[in-house]
Amino acid sequence: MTDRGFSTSGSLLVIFIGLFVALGTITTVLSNTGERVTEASEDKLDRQSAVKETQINITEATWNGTTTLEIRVNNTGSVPLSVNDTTVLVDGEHVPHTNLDTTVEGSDTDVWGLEQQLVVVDTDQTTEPTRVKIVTRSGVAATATVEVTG
Amino acid sequence: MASVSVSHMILFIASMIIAASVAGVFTSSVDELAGAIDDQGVQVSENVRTSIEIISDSGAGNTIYQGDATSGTITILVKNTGTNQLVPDGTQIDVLVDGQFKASSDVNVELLGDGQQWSESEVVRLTIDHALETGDHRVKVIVNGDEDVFRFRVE
Repeated sequence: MTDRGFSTSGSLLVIFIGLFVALGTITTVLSNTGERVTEASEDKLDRQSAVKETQINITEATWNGTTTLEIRVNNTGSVPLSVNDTTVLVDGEHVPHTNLDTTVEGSDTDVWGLEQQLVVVDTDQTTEPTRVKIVTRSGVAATATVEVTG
Repeated sequence: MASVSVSHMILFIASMIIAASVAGVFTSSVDELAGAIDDQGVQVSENVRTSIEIISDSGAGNTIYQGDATSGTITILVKNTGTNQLVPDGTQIDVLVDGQFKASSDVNVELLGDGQQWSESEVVRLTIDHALETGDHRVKVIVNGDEDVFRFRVE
């Protein structure tokens, strides 16, 4: 009887150790997964919040008749924006930042603060543009027609 | 007496082997389940972090569609507005034109930036081989479960 009891106890011990190891594994994975998904969800909420708080307004878009296109955009939202994350389209074509001179209130900076004006200058615009579109980091955009001043 | 001890020993060893087998099968099954949950978590996390926006200017004349009713190309610009780094090729980007799925061989993806990855705020140009007739059309772009629809008119 004693030997049989020892067999049963030993078997149960082995099974319980297996259960314990399995429970530890599943608990760790569930915890990590939950944390990862929670962080991603918070990130998404932040982005949605940024979209709601972002607003821009193109006050002026002019072409001097030769090569220079100048666009003035105001940050009328309630969050600071990034100049480098802003996309510029001229007549539907993407213009890389390397072709643009950008200043915020006269400074060469990436921070485009509240109620500040971003001035984008493209000195390589030889053909007359008709439309410009500015797209912020969050996808909020503004469009304007270009006025020829030259 | 000796035969009883031997039979008990055999029973003990057999019970331990069976118990170890049960525990082994259980832990390996749970390991596989844990791996699947982990993979699913990574996938869900990437999907949630992915956000794209078609930023093409639908009012900018014929920059969207170039061609005629028999052959042509649609050009659209897509910005990564999420926080997940994406792969700028046809394997991760699905395109539908007027509800018709386009094979990756019909879609050319060009990254408009310096890097190799489609990072945050960067833009890709999708050039889609597809003939369109005059009228209203729509292009749907799907990346990692996030989608955006662009409507435009061909004059």
